[in-house]
Amino acid sequence: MLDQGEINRGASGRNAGSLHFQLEPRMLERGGDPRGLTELIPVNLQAIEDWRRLPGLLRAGLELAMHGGLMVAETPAERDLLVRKWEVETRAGLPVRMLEGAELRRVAAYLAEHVCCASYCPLEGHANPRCVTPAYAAAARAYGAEIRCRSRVRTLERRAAGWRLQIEGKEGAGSAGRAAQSSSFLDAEAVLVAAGAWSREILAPHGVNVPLEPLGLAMNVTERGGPVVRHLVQHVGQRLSVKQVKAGNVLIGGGWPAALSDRLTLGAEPHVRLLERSMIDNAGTAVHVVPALAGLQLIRSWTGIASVSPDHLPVLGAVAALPGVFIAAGESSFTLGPTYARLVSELMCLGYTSLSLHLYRPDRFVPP
Amino acid sequence: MMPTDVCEVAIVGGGPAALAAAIAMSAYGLDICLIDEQPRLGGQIYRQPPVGFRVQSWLAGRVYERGKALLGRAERLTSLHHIAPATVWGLFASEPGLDAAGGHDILYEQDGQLGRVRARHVLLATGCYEMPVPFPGWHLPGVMSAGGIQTLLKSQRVAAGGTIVLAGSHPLLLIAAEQLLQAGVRIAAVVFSQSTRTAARALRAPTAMLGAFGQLVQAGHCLWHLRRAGVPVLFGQVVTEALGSDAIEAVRVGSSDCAGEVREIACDTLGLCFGFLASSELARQAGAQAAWEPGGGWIMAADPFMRSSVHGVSVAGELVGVAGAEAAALSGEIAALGIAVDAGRLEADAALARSATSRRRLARIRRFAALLAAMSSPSPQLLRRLATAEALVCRCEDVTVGAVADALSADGAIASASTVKLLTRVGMGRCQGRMCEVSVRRLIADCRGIALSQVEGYVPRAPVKPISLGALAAAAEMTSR
Amino acid sequence: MGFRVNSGTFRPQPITFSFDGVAITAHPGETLAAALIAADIRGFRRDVRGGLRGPYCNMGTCFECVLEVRSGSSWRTVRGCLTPVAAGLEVRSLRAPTLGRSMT
Repeated sequence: MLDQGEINRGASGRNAGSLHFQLEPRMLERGGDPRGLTELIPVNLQAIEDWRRLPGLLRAGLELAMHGGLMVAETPAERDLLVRKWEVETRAGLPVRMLEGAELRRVAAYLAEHVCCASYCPLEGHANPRCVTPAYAAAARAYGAEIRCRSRVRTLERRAAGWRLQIEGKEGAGSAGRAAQSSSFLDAEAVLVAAGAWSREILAPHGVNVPLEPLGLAMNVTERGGPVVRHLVQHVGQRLSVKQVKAGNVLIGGGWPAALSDRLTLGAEPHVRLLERSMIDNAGTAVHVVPALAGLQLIRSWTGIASVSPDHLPVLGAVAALPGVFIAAGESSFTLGPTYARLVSELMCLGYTSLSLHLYRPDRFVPP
Repeated sequence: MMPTDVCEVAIVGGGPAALAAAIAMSAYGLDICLIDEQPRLGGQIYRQPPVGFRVQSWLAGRVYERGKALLGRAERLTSLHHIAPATVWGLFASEPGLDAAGGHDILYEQDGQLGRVRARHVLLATGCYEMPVPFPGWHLPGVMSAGGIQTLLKSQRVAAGGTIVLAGSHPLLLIAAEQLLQAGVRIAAVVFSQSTRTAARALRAPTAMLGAFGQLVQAGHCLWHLRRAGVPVLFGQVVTEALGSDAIEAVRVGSSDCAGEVREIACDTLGLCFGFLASSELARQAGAQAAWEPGGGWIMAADPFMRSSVHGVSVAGELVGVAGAEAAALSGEIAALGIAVDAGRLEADAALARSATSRRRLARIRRFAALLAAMSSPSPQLLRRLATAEALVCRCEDVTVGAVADALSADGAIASASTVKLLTRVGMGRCQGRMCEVSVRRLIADCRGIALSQVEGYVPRAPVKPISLGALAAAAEMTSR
Repeated sequence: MGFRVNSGTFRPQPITFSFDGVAITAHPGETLAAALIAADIRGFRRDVRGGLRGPYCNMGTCFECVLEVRSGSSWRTVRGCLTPVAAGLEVRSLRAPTLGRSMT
């Protein structure tokens, strides 16, 4: 495995750590077609199982909390959206129920009065992105995998028996120092491009267009506080995610934008600027939904680069034009990442997958 | 919209650099907003008693006369809009188009409410803080920075304890000791890590020639007073451990070079000073370039008129080199002239001419400040020895030196403070890494065999100080209405 | 222990505030940190391991002196060294983070 920097420094290590098995609000925008939404649920159901098993599989505590997640609504229109979503999910077997009135107050007393209802999935929650990738790395190493950091793949060259990767490495000092550059190459039968927003530039020279747009996002975290929020809280009509981790800090996010200076050439350390407007409005939304947060102090904000596809689904599967090259990148793949990874690995090793990856195929963007 | 002040120049800070700059700028008719975290002007070195107090001998002594005069002149400025106490948490380029006057927005929190100062020119004069040095027990109640004990006495007129030990490597220890002694505190010992010879060199040579390096002259006099009062002043010794359960009860003192016997000195308070680090987080958050200097931390790059690498942002005082109050005032004055030029109030060559004397003086002070820093800084070996495995490196998150060392040895690829932060939680507390960054970087440098200056620190980002979510939410509400 | 230095110092008439339910005398203009130190209280909060912590830098940089003050019907965290005393102010020490230690 080759990473241009240190592992887990991209979106994988910077996201909110939410485990949201309910359909995301933006998926509801894919059109009123319930069948289109229903197709997404099997992967979500699988992800619940995958996360349950993960701490045991990786033999690591991942600060996994599956105490439940709520998607809240305030207006009648928002409520309708939630109900529509709940109908699709329930029919497809996802454990979700609608909470209102006294029951909502009982389950989540910390919610503001103007929250009229919520869809509740008892298995949603969060894990710690700072733990998950390193745990995967340790397990991979135990299986004999070699992980090379500060090794940027410059080119892919087709060879008789597979692919040759040209790698530019940085030895020595941390990135502050004058690191010695080194060039090397590696031969492989198969290549998996899982470079998030950087995947596009790796495949572009081969005429393969992966329409993943880099998107700068921001996250916020508070000081440690006493218990305030037990569940993952999201909002069907606003950008919001709120969760309280074991240490007591409250993480506040939800897809608020940060400014990416150069969208075309990302470079190894792209500059992503925090936006004052995002910080204020994200906090405002959080306090609006959970008033008790007002007494806490925000101590840190950070940015990351996610990548969005035209249909809000990741790109998973074989790259038809480049036999032996596969891709697994895009969209919010912390919750579904372990499942996507397993499916793509099945494809690469067995030639078939236990769940269909048809929706995510790389060539779906090519006009017929 | 949150309360917004628009001005030509915004100054962040209230110490000598900020004061001198404000005075100089006023002479050119510039309209100034000064934002500071303390309620009154003066910064830390001239930290005043609260309004309503009357303190007869506040900063008595010839060495403070110039500073007090500077403070007095600044307080009488009518063109100065003083926003205080206010905590600045971010510096952003003003959104284009919203206001023709814009350059940068300084965002602050005051009384649970957010506020904004929009200015075409910004001067950051945010001072410095004591460099933290981890050793076992340093987190106990009663262990404070020597500067903290000093300002508690100077401004609040409270003695931090009844029996105090002062320890470290900086002459400030002597000044603080003498002030405490006069206030009726028992000084159990003053403990210097450097040998007598090194200390004497620092105290004697430059001052004899210059007579102007006030603090050293002062320190020399203090030493004499302390000795006369029977206070043990130890050289070549170091506090290796603070002992106690709920608070400090004693210190363990041994020789700086490990040889010799160890003894315990009972005390209820310990004051530490091993030098200073520039408080340059805000300047670096704004994107200005800095370089690591052993005697001062992340020091800002600045042109001859103290302009930083970010257009419209100037830096002065300890941010451009830890060199004391007089140097700070001089750099503040020079920065002000630069801003006067940028604001079209003064021609560049006139500014150069007017700043010539100050520049020469500043250069001379800086040379001796460098000497002093070299002679009053703890050696890397000493720091390594003090930072035992059980010492807390991150006080906010209770992470020990040992935990960081374990993380570094578990994965040989880790070479940045940010990665160590993600793995161990160092730097994730309320102080945002101020108290641990230098030590974490030192551990990385030692472990990987690279120079400290080559180890990156935590990424400086807004908020550079914690902000209340309630204040942020209130600002959101205001906009939506 | 900590004490007020009286020689050459005039302070305004004292007021009282409460700390963990106990009445503390202070003078307007003093910071919470100064008043508590003068009252021989130097443990302001508990750390992750349950140990006591108190003021260190006295200038708003170290965040060791964090306390909670009453704000309407709830509480908010403040730095004791930067917060002035006020008559009737309710102040309490910060308890140890209770949700448990994070990884490592």
